[in-house]
Amino acid sequence: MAVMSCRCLEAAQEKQLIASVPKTSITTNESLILTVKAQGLRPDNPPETPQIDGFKVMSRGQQIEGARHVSIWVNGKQQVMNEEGSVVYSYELIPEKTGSFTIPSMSVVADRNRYRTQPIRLTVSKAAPVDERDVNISVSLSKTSCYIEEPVVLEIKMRFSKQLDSYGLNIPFLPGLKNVIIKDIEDTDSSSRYARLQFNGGQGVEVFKVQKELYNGVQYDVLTLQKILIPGSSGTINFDQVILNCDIVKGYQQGRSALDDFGFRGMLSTRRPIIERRVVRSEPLTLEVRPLPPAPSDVTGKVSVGVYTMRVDASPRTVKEGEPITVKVTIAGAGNIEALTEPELSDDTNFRKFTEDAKTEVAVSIHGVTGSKTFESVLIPTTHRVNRIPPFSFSYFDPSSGNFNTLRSDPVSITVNPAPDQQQPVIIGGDEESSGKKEVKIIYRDLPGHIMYSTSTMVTDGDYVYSSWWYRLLLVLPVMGNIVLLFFLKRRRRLNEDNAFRRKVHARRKAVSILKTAKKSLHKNHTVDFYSHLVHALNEYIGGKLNIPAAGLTAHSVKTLFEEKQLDPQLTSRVVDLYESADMARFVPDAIGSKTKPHDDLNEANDLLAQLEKIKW
Amino acid sequence: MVKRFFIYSLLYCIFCVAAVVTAQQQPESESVTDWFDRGISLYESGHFAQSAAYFEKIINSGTVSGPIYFNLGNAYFKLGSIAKARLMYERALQFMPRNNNLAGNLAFLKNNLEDKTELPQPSLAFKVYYVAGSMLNRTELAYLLMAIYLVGMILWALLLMRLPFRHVIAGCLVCVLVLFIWTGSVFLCKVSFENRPLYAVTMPDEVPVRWGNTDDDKIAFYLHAGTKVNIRQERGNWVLITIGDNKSGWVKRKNIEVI
Repeated sequence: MAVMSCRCLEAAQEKQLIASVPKTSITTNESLILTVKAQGLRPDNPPETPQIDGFKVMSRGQQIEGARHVSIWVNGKQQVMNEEGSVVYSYELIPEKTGSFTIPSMSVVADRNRYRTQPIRLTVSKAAPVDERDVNISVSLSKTSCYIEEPVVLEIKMRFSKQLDSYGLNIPFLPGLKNVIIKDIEDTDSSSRYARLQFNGGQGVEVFKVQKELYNGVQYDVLTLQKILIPGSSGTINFDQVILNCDIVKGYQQGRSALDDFGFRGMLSTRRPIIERRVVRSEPLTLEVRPLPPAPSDVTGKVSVGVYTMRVDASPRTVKEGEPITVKVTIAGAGNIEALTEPELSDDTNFRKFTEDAKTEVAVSIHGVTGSKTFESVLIPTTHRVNRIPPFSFSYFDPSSGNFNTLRSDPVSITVNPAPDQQQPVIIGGDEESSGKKEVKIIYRDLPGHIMYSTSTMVTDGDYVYSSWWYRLLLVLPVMGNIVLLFFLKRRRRLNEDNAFRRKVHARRKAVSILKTAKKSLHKNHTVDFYSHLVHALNEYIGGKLNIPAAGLTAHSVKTLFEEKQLDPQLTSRVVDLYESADMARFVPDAIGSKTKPHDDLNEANDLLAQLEKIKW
Repeated sequence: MVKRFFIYSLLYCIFCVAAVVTAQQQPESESVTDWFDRGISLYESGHFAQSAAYFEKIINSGTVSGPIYFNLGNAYFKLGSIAKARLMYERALQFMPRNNNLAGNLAFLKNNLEDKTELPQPSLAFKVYYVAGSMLNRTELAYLLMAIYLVGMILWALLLMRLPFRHVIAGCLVCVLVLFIWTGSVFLCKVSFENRPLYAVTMPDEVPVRWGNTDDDKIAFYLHAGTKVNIRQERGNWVLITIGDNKSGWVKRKNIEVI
C-alpha cells in the first residue's frame, strides 16, 4: 500500500517544463499571458524572458502551486512525502504588429539537468476598431520642432469611461531620455486630485493629475501627466508608443445562489463583473531638435536660449582703491534658467574680479521654465582713476523670433578714493555678507601653481615614519631610561637617609681600601701596622654589614656573631683564625718571629672578603 | 647633579636627532629622480602626455610624494583630464595640506567642474578638535607626536628628580599629557581616515547615480567628471555615495576612483 502511494506521488511529480498560452490567435488589441510551468522542478534560475519579434514581453512574476505533504504509515512508522509542486512563471505578450510569430523554446536548469519547452506558434491579426469610448490614450508635444535648450511640454493623457480593474502601463521614454533634461511641472492648484501610477513593470512611478472631462458626449476619468523637456543636443528624438493594457469592467451579471432552485431566485446571489481586456496605444511621436543658427559676429561666447532681461546692482558705490564692490547681475526670464552663462564684463582692465556661485530661482509650469539666476561677483578697483563699472553684456537666442539678442547694462557710476597706503587688498574667508568680507574664488586663465621641483619628500608608498624601527625605539627608550632613573634616584635617597644601609653597601669598598693601605705597610716591612690595618679592614667590613660599631670587634665577638647568624662554620673558623693570627702578630711580634706569613694573610683577607660578600647579610 | 642630568639629556637629544636624520636619509633611487626631472622638463616644454607618463612611472615604481602627485595633476589638467587631475590633487593634499600652490590649483580646477557641489562640512567642534589633522600630514603629525612625547618624558624625569619647582613641572607635565592624548587621537583618526576608502572622485564624464544598487533602479541624479564624493557603503560592484546637500545614491565602482 505504502509503495503504491509513493509511486502515485512520483507519477504525479513527473518533471517537465511546459509553456502554454490560452489561445494561439489574437488581434492587435489583445494581450496574451504566456505561462511557463516547471512541473515538479525547482529551477536554479527563472527562464530568460523570451525575445519575440513583433511582441513586447513583460514579466508578470512567478508563483508556486501544488506543493503538498502526504503522510503515510510504513510498519507502524509515519513517513512524510513532500511533493515539490510547480513553479509557474508568467509573461504578458503585447502584440506590436500583425503576422505569424513563434514563441521560442525556453529552458531552465534544475538538478543539473536542462529542461526545455516546445516552441509555440502565434498568429496576430488586425483588430477591429476599438471602442474608444471605453479607454484611450494620447501623447502630445507642445511643438514638434524646437531649438536646442528650448523647453517643450510633453503630455500623456489617459481617458477611462469604465471602471478599471487592473492595468499595465509602458512608457518607453521615461524616466530618462538621452541628452534631454526632464522636469516635473509644479502644480499650484491645491484642489486637484492626483494618482501615483507605476509604469514599465514597476520600475518607475509618476504622479498623474486626475480630472473629469466630457469628451464626445461621454463622461471620462482623465489621468494626465505633463513634463517639460529641454533638449541638450540637436537631432531627432523619438517617442515610442505608450502602451496601456488594462482590464475594464464592462458591466455586471447576476450570479447563481443555492436558493435559486428553491424559488428564491436572486435572494443571495451576487453581482459578478464582466471583465474585458483592452490594449491601447498612443501614436509614436518625434521631436526635431534644431541647432542654433550661426550667431552674428557681435555675439561672442556661449549663448543662452530663451527670452531674458538683465539687471545690475552694485554696492557700495563709494570705496577706496583696493576695497571690494559687490556686483549682482540678475538674468530673469523664460528658458533653461539653470544653464544660463555668466554675463561678460566689457572691460575689466581696472578691476580684479572674483566670482561666487550663482543663485538660481526656477519655477516650472505648463508655460515652460521661468525664473532668475543671480551672478554675484566682487570687483576690486585697482586704481582710483576709475569712475564707473563698465557695462555687462549677455547674449541669448530667442526661439520664438529666431533672432539673437544681446543685452547691455548701463555703466554703474562709482567713486574710488585713493588708498591710504599701497598695500594689496586681502579678501579672505567669511560667509556672512554683513562682515564685509566674502569667500571668493580667484579667476585665473591657467593653473596658478605650475610645477614643484622638490624631491626631498619622496618616500616609498606605504612606508611611513611611524612604522619605522627608530620611531618605535624612540618610543620605548625614554620610558626605559626614566624607569632606570627612578630606581637610581630611589637608591641614592636611601643611601642618604639610611645609615645602616649606607654602611652595608659601602662595607666592602671601605675594607678593600683599608687593605690597600695595609699592603703599603707590608711593602715598607711595617708588619705590626700591616696587621693593625688588616684587623681594621675586617672590623669595618663586619661592623658595616651587621651595623654594629667596628671598634670593639674581636675574634671571640666575631665568632659569636657569626654563630648567631648561622654562617658556614668553616668560614667562621677561617675568619677567627685570621683575627687570632693578626692579634698575635700585633701584640707579641717577637714571640712568633718569622712564623708570620703576612702575604698569605693578606691573600686570605681578600679571599675572605670575597666569600663573605656572597653571604646575604 | 642637575648639571649632569642636563648634559645627559642633551646627549640623548643629539642621539635622537641623529637617529631621525639618519633614518630620513633614504637612498633615493637614481632612476626615480631622473624620471622626476624628465617629467618636469617635458612639462615645461609642453609635452604633457609624456610628462604624465614619467610621473605615473614613478608612482607605479612605489615612490610617492606631494610634488609628484601635484605635477601629475597639472599634467592631467593640461591634457583636459579634469577627473584624473582632481584625483591627483586630492592625493597630493594628503602630503601637502598647507601648500598654497596646491590649494590654488585645486580651487581653479573646482571652478572648471560641472558639478559645483561641495561635501558637507564637519561641525565646528570637530574642526577645532581636528585642527592639527587638517594642517599637518600624517608624517608631520607623527613627528609632532614624538616631540610632545619626548618633552613629556623629560618633564617626567625632572619630576622624578624632585627639583624645587616641581609643582610647575607637574603642571607642565599634565598639559603635555593632555596635548599628547589629543594629538595622538587626531593622529589615529587621520591614519584611519586615510587608510579607509572614505572619499573618491567620479571619473567618467557622466555618472548616473541610482536609487538602488542595480541597473534597474531609477536614476536619482547625474554626477560629472571630477566630483569628490563620500563613500558610505560598498556592496559588490556598487558603492553608496553622498555628495553635498546630503544627496545619496549608488554608483558603479568602476565609475569612481578612491583618493
